[in-house]
Amino acid sequence: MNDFEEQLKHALRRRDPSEGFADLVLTRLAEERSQRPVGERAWNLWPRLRWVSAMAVLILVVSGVVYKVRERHDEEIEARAAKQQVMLALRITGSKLRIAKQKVKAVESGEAKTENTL
Amino acid sequence: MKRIGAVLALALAITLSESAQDVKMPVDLDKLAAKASETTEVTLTGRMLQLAAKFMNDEGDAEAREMVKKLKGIYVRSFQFDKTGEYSEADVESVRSQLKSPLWEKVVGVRSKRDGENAEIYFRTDNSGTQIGGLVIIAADPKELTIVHLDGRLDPNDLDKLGGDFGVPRLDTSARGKQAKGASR
Repeated sequence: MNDFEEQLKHALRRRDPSEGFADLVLTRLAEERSQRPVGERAWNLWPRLRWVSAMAVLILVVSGVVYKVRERHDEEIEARAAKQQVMLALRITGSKLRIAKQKVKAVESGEAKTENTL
Repeated sequence: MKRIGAVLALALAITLSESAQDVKMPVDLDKLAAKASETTEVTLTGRMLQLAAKFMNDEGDAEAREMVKKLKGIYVRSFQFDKTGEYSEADVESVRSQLKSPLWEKVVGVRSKRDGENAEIYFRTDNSGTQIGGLVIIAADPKELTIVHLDGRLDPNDLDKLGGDFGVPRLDTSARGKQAKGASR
């Protein structure tokens, strides 16, 4: 065993802490904790809170996206039904206008009585 | 105090004026559905019309979309019956009585004694007096009664399109003068 090894062994030898060391450490720890902001303390007290918050935000975002997609889908179904109704109404209107025109024309041949015309 | 009174009077006048312009499909008319062999009922107002217009993107929808955008409401009641006499003159009169001058002008009124087919077309002029603010068609024959109300701004081109571009034959509005002349005989 050379001199260096001897020095290393001496430096790393087991030594008992001085008297009151444990109390000193606990006192300092308590002081540090009391000096941290409340939020940080809470954050450190409940590490799972981070995961819970992250999951809550994720669920909210996913729910929002799903809601929007479904809303858009429902709106499209509603709009397509409304469009069909509009086209049906316009067709009926057009056909009745055509019939009225035919009847007005019939006046000229004396088949009908007309009060007024286009 | 006088100012408040004037404002209230103006608000009342506007409300009465607006309500006077509304044409309501009478409840009794809807009861005809029970007797009819075929019923078509369309009621589309503000939001639904805008929604429909938003999705009218197919080829050939453009003209209809532009017309629909200007409308405030579309109301259609059409009843087909298996036999005659299922509806009464009172049913028709309940709509006709709402179409009074000066707001409404009857532009066509045809009665056919031979086949009992009648057609009436009413226009409502808008506030400027230059455009059509609404259209009502009452078409009645012994086995069919149809009432159409387009509420909102229309122009003669729209009527032209109605007769041609939506899958029904074109209405030749250019012949108006000639027909009017024929009717005055």
